Amino acid sequence: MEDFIDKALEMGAEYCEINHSEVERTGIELSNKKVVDISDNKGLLYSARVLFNKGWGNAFSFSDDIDALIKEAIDNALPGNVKIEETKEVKRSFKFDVKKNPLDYGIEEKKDLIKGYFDDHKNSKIKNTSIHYSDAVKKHEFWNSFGSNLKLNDTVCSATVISYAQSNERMESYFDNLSEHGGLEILKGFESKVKACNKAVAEILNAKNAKGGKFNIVVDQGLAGVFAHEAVGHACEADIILSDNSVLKGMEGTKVGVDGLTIGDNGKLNNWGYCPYDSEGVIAQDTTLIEDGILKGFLHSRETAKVMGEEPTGNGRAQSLENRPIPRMTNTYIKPKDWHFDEMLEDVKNGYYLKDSYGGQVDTATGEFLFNAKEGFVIKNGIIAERVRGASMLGSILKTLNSIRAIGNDIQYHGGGACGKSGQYALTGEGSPHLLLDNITVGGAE
Amino acid sequence: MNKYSESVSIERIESYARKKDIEYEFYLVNSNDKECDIFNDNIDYVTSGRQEGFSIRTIVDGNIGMASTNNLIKYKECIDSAVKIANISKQDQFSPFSYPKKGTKVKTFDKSLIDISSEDIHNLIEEIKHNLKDKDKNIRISKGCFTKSFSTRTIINSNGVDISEDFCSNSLNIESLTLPGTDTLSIETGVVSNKPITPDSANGWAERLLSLKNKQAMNGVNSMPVILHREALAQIFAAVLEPSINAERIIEKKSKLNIGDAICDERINIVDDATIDMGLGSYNYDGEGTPGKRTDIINKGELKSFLHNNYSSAKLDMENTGNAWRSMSTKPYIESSNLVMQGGNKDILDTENCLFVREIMGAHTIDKSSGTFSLGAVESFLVKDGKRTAVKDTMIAGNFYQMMKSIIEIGNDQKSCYSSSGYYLPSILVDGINIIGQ
Repeated sequence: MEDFIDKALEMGAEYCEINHSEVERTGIELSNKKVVDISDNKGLLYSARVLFNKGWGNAFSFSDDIDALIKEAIDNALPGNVKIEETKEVKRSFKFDVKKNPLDYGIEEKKDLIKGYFDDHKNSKIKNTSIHYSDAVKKHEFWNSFGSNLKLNDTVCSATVISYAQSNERMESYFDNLSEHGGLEILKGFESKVKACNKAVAEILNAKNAKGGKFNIVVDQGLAGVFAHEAVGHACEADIILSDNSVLKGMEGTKVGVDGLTIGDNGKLNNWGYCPYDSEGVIAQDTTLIEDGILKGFLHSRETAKVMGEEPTGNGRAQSLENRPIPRMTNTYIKPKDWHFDEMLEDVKNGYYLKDSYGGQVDTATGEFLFNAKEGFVIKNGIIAERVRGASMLGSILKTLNSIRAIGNDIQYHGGGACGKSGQYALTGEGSPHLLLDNITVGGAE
Repeated sequence: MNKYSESVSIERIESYARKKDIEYEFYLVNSNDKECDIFNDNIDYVTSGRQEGFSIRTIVDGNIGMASTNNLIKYKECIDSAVKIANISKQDQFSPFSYPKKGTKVKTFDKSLIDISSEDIHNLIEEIKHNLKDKDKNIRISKGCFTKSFSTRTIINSNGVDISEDFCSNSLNIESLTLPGTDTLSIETGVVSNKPITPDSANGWAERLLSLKNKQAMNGVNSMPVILHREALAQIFAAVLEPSINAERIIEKKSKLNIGDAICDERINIVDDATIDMGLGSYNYDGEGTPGKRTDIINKGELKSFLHNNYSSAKLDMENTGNAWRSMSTKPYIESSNLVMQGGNKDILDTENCLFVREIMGAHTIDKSSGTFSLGAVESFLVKDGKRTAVKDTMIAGNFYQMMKSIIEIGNDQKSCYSSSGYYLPSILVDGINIIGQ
């Protein structure tokens, strides 16, 4: 590949990189123990990306005609003003430690394994339980004109359970997920998630709608992690800063959150957002975004690092070789402090306890965000009381960073989601302890 | 010349399956895409590429198996894998493969799309930029991308189906159109079309952005009529209505609806129609080779049909509505073609004393089963005493099914919706939604 890169430079390219990826995937979906779908997919792709006349050109194909790809990439590049931050040559191989490689197990074995997770003693109001399993064994190799050559052998497994319960006209659903880098060993204990899922949906069926208004709330690790991701992580992506679309622009070095609040992003962590090198060949690192309430840094690609005079952070990620690497999160976390969960409940006295999230959305320009909690409970006299449904929280980034009254001591990491940005999806993970937030707008239909 | 693939002919692939004496169906895709990224008003990244690949579904002793690959050299391995999966899948005994039928003759795209060059794209962006800056010189396309995709899909099966259909579209997605300042304003907008996008597609974008100046917070929990603009309604339909009328979800008891249920106000009429000339969701054949058609979904508020593919129509013994979609690596899934809601006679967009919701935040978090929602009302306005004030930090909360029975008026502004391609909806004026402010 080095010869192709030399040729691209001879043709006038200022920078060149070549990628090759291969993936083998299996998907199994069982609905009430019956097979709905079993499939396997094998894919490969090659790409060449060049900086030519200070403009980016990229070309991809299933064909390994690298010469043709480089020519197409050079043809695509329009004259521009792009410069990138260089890094030293790196030659490394990364292999994720896998105990039970999915390729060593037949599809029938995997199907039987999934079947065994179903709960035979579920509530009669549960009309359907579906489990969707998938695995992917991936190989990626990267070369660039700085002399780097990086290799990754990665394996991910994921199982999602969704349960549907119905009583008369009313129908509710609930889901849970277990996704990690690794082989089939990561599914250990999934049957307890299935049971818990069935229990939760049966309870939601009898829950009242949440009441909208302003409340003090405690959020669990899952929802707090989504807050770190949506409200802080996105606003710290350097392309968002450079396009004037972040409320955090111009606030570097200033106080944006409460004392003791530290938020970072780390692609080296063995969590769902594990990304040992990014799509531009930059090695992962632990990047501090907020330290003790003060805004410290942003997430960079080579290009945004150059423009802002900073170092690349290993966050230039692309969904696949077809897509452009842009600043993306990996594993975003809030550092734990010293509050116990029970102390938080006592402190709130009356409010809501919101758990996990069906997803969220943020407008980084205005700072407005919305998360729908997967589970909601009323806190009455410092004790978790009845369950409510349909609770969500709406807030603005800066106000909420200053509304954190307590940070728990019980960090947990979550994964399984795919973060969408600019039409691309990236595997991202989040970690946080419980948080206590003051005076938050909670949405509900009651 | 190979009908489909550059590397291995389909005849060779099909002949290997035929020798195995199995029922089979090949779904082959060949695509060419070009994408130009816009960052701070300039195209700074251009990518293009080709993809080809196929999936095979096969039936062995009544059981179905599927495998896919884009490495055509390994076609034998892929077919063998599908046979192996069929041997263990023990799925329902319903043959999902189509029989040859005459398709509809619907025009799906303007052929001039194919010839759009990089220069055309550059000129389009420049002109749009110029027009936006005429309204306010500080308006900027912060992030966006122009995409052109051309694909040919081919379906060949052992029942004698052998059809190919071309699809082409272009889109301009503006992730953020921004007016930088102390209170930065930003909207997401864009256009998807099956004919070349012209600069006038961006008419009104600047005005939308500028109307967001001087946002005010609302106080407490309010109850007043809400205008759900068609773009907001399209997002809610995609999140709740579409999955609820999906026949596969009915089979799996994931939707509570029954044919004949009165689920909406009786003024509501909705059809699924793949046969609209130049419709963004139109096709001659669906993803399994069933001719596209027009189906009454909701008539006078009553549910008339689900959306079907071959499997669901056989399983439920209902007419196949031809709504199978698929990608190269997925089994056919059910989705609407063009989902068309009949418009009303009145202009409701200027209604007084209501909250006008143009865009919502968080539609993907709505619970599909119950229809309960609480969403951010972004790009929304309080219309009161002849004044229109942009609001901030405001949520709307309610239930989809209750909302569809609490319609005050249906607007006369039915149009193609950018937020859900293939949806043609009017705006609606509704009651019974909680509005939660500061």
